[in-house]
Amino acid sequence: MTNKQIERRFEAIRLVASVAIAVVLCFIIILFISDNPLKALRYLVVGPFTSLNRFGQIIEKVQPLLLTGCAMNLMILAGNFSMIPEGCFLLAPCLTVPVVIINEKIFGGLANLGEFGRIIWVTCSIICGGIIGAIIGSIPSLIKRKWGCDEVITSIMLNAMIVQFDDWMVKRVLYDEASGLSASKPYPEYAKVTRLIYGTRVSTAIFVGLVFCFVTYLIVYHTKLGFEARLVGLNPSFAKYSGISVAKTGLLIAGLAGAFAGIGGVIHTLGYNERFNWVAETGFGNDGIFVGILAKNNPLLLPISAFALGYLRVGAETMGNNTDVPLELIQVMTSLIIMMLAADQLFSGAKHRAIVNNAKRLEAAKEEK
Amino acid sequence: MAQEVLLMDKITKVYANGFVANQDVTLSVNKGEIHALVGENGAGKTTLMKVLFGIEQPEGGRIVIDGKEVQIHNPLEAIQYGVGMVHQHFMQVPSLTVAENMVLGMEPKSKSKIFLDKAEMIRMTEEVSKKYNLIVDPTLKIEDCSVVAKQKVEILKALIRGAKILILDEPTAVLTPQETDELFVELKNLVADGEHTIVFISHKLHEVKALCDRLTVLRLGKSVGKANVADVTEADISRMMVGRDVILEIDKEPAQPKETVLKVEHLTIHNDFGKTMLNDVNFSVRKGEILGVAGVEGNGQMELAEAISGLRTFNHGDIKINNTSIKGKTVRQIRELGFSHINEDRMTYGVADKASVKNNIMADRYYKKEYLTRHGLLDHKKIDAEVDELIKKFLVKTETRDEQVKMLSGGNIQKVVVAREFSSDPDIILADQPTRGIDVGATEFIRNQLVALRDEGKAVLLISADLNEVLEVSDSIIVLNNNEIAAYIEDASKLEEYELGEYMLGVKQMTAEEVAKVVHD
Repeated sequence: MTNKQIERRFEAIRLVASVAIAVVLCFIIILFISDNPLKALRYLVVGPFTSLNRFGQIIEKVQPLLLTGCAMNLMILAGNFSMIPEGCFLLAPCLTVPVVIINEKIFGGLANLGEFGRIIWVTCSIICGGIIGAIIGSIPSLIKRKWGCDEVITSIMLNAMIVQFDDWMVKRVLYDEASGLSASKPYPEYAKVTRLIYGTRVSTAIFVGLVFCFVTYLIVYHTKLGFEARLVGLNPSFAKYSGISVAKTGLLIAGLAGAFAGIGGVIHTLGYNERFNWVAETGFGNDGIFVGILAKNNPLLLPISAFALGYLRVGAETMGNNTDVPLELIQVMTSLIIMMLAADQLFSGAKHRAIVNNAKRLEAAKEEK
Repeated sequence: MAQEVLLMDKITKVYANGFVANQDVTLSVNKGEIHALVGENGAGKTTLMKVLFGIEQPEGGRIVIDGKEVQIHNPLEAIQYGVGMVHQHFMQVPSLTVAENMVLGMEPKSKSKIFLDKAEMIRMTEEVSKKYNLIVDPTLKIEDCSVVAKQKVEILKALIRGAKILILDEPTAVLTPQETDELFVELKNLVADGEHTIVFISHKLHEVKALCDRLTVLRLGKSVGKANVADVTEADISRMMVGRDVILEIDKEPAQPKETVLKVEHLTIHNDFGKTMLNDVNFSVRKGEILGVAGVEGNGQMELAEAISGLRTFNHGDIKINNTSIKGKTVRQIRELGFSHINEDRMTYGVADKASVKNNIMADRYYKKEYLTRHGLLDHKKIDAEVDELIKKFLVKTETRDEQVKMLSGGNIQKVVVAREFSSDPDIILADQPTRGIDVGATEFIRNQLVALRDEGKAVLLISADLNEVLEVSDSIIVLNNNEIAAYIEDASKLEEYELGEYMLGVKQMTAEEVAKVVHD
């Protein structure tokens, strides 16, 4: 057996064990806080598959996660721990989508074009959302380059400002009294993304997400930019010495990630909401980190990890609605999983022993020869 | 019968990448002696001492100090048992004074228990320095100290903490022959009281003969012999170390220099603190020659390498590669002029240790047309074929091209660097400490490759702190001292190590006219 195989095996064991330990810990918590733990567990585990509606809810959650997952994937690979995808996800639709509500006269013509009009509008809004996302996404990297502020800090501050901006837009500019809520006027029918399953909000957005996972994979493993990003992420000094511009790579990746998150925001609201009503953080940007890490930073695995998170969330909601266990429990579980995944040294003792034994065996074999 | 003060019995150490650095190694040291631990680079000497000092935990074996079996989990415990280590690379804070470095971690406090007592620090330093006759200036900052002074501080640091067993890890590696002589007198002084014991790690046999009482030989992670130094000849020791009779010697024809490739003109560099590191330096390197740069470390070698490779800007003067100035050019633009570079800091600049062998080899060329498909994507098929070929050609021992570089041994990691830097068809190669800390096989391979490239008509600039290497590999040599070129020796084969030492220390200095000969037009 080679050391690489030992490494791989322990990597897999760690992934499975992390999830298992987190799940078991949550089961134990449920046992303590619930009067009817078995019922709670059943809702948590089986609940998401008990109706088409609930299954649809999983897919609804996967849709935005795919794009923010791609964004975070790119960021983490390039060693840039900016949280700005959340901000891009919030701001891009806020600046793009209302156009269609305010200027009904101009865009009304699209309605007459039928499906074709929808395609034009959705494509345009995706492009605009992408551009806005790219601009916002690069701001923390630009600030870092200019003044040396850490991206983590600036991106979180920027996100806070964007939330307030969205809130102000919805409540002051787009506000529609008829809605009775903090929300804009309803989106015209031609401006929405086509829903796929009746009674759910599963829309063609899911396909857009899947396409972008593949695009991200192509970028990371098959383009010059992806190659540069991976080397910069692993060792910026080495990248510089080899002739790669660290600053340029960081900026391009941040812009790209911002664009993906922005597109995610636009397509999500057009497929999921009836009106624009985002006045708080959606959490999808930060969930992107979880999904990205769980997918081991492989864009092709993002659909699976996004589905896992969606499943956990819907299970928790079902449990929360039907039993005495609060759905926030699932936050605890996802946090535990991340913590266990981040625990580099988990099983390191056992791994080291395996490597030592292997080395001893190889030595012995050598001597026999 | 001498009293045994230290016994390391059947020590086995396996690193996380599966490399067996020590296998049942036994070392026995008597009180009051200077015991040599000899072996080639990569034989496991440093690992064994790291185990003794608590930096690494062994997988097997036991350590006995003064007749008591002990477990050493970290350096603090090692110090409590009276073990002190003088590292190959000094563990000092350059911006603090000698006295402050001496007491780091055990600072004397004033009566109020709040402020540091600087006078007491200086008194403590002077006391221990006088006691052991290792004279240093306590008020001098480390960054202003000479290498010998730093070395003394490092030894005193161990002594002030009560070390009785001193480990010296290749202490002469960065010293000139003259400084080495001085150090040996002081070390003999130190053990004369019969209380102190020294474990002296080296692979320089004449030093072992001159200094040590007994020796233990390591080869490929195993202890293969021990002897009284007086009973064996250098040839005997060498045979035990290598297992064969050959000694590193490079077979090369005289150089046939052609036109100039690299030209350094009036180069002046100030470091980040405003200190002048290079002052009006002029030299040139021609096709078909290896120009060696010798000098005590810290005389501007690092700045010179950084400036030529584009990692640092320079203040005055110019550097030209193939008659094009590199001023304001990016690293990539400089590389495209026909430049390649082995960096002295292998793990920071030479490789990305978590990236695959393949990605490390491709890092300087992935963007070139021949590695892209028609659609502008990376052509992995072609890349894999080239990487496999280079792995074979440069004898990199790796399971696959996708193996992480950190899983390889030091010598193989350097071969990955060399595979990349030597295969980009460069006109000028800057080899900065190309064989530092790697095993003898890889060293031999890399030195021979450098000579082969010279014979193909490439220019090589070799910077090395290893005097042997500079003398063996170079065709001509320049010596840096006091941030200037102190000497230019046109024919390196006529130079003696001792004379080179005199130039390095500034005892001897050539005239400006003699030095100016290094500029060829």
